[in-house]
Amino acid sequence: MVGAMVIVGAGSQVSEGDVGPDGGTAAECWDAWHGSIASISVLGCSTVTRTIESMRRAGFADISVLGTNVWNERAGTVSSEEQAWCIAAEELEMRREKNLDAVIIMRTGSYVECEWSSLIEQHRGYGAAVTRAFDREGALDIWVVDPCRFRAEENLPGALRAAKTAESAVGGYVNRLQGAGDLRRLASDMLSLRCRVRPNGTEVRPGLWMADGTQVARNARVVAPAYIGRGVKISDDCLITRCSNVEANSCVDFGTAIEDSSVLSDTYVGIGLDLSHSVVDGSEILNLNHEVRLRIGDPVVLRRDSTKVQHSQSVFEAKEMALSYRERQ
Amino acid sequence: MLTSGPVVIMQLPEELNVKEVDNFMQEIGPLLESNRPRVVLECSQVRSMESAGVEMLLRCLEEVLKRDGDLKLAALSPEAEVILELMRVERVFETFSTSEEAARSFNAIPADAIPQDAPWYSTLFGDLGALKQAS
Repeated sequence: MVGAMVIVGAGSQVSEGDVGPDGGTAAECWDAWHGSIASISVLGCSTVTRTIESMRRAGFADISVLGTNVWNERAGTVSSEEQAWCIAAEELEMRREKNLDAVIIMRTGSYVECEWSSLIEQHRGYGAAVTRAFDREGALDIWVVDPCRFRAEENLPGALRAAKTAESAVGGYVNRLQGAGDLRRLASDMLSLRCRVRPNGTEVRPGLWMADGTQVARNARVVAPAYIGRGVKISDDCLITRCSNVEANSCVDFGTAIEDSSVLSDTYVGIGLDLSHSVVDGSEILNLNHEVRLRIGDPVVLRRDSTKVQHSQSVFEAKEMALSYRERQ
Repeated sequence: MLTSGPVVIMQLPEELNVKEVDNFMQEIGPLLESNRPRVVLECSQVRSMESAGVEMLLRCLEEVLKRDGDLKLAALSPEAEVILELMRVERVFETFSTSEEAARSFNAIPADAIPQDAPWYSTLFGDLGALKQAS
């Protein structure tokens, strides 16, 4: 039996000296702005949730999600990533007692489309206590651990880094999600079918995906590939084009053009605007061409359209899903 | 005869919100009412701009054009550029990378390019006076 632990990290990668943020201002801006990209909904679903779904499909017996602001049944709401790793170390002990022969420890961070079964096979073939996944660019924050042979009482990430690991190559799609540029690339890659995962919704025309409850005005033009999320309202004379995605419960008002951009959940985009090469979240805009992030103080231009949804919600959804899956076992 | 004053370069404040716009309009107001105002607004300090700021720029442009002058933007900060693009007004203004360049652009055809001791058409038609005498 194989178990899994997903640690929702704040930065792009936990590893030191492997592949860090590229130092670009957009990436730095993003870290200061959002913390964890993995918990942001892209084409209807966060990458954490997608990862857990893929683990579930692979038949993992015991999946737990740990991360900042994620509630844990033993520790309550986790306040930091360090605490999440401490709980992960404790859970690893528990899985040893359950006699699981392998546990996947993954920190999101990156979005990886991994053949879990082949990774486990390779780990078994190597016969090592720890196997680490790699791609062409370097190490990924995915480890396969034999809980009976690997012990880490305190510093689990340190112990994983220090352990003598076998290396397993991941052949599938990898996006390190180091900044807003990578988030845009992920949306664009999904819409252009460059990765395995598909948008959450229905493909109403080739390349044009719409979730339930969208309202697109008769005079609005949505040019494929594009994604319109759940409960989104697109007003008259709007244009949505070039792999743009408008996430759940957002509103694009009269005459606005959205090109090569991502509008995150619960965002109002005002009348007659020209939004291009950007990621917008509420009143904040990050322009990838100019590599600049700014807050628009004018609610008629950009604003958060609802206070009820936080980005961490998708992490909670992931946790709920993992718990319900655990209950079914 | 049409005359024009010197080119005036003004620095826009860091934040162009309603309050700052009012202050700036009081400062620039008399200049806009002069004859053929020639204004360069230096935007390097701009970090945020509300729609009131964009409206102010458009109002200033309208006023100077009414008086046969012009207004140009210089040294746009990335933030100012993003906002002008977002609000679809970047094409309305002539922009330059430095204020000096913008100021020079008001005299794109410098007066000394045409010899002052001969009429402007002399280069095209030669000395018309001599031609007339000869005929």
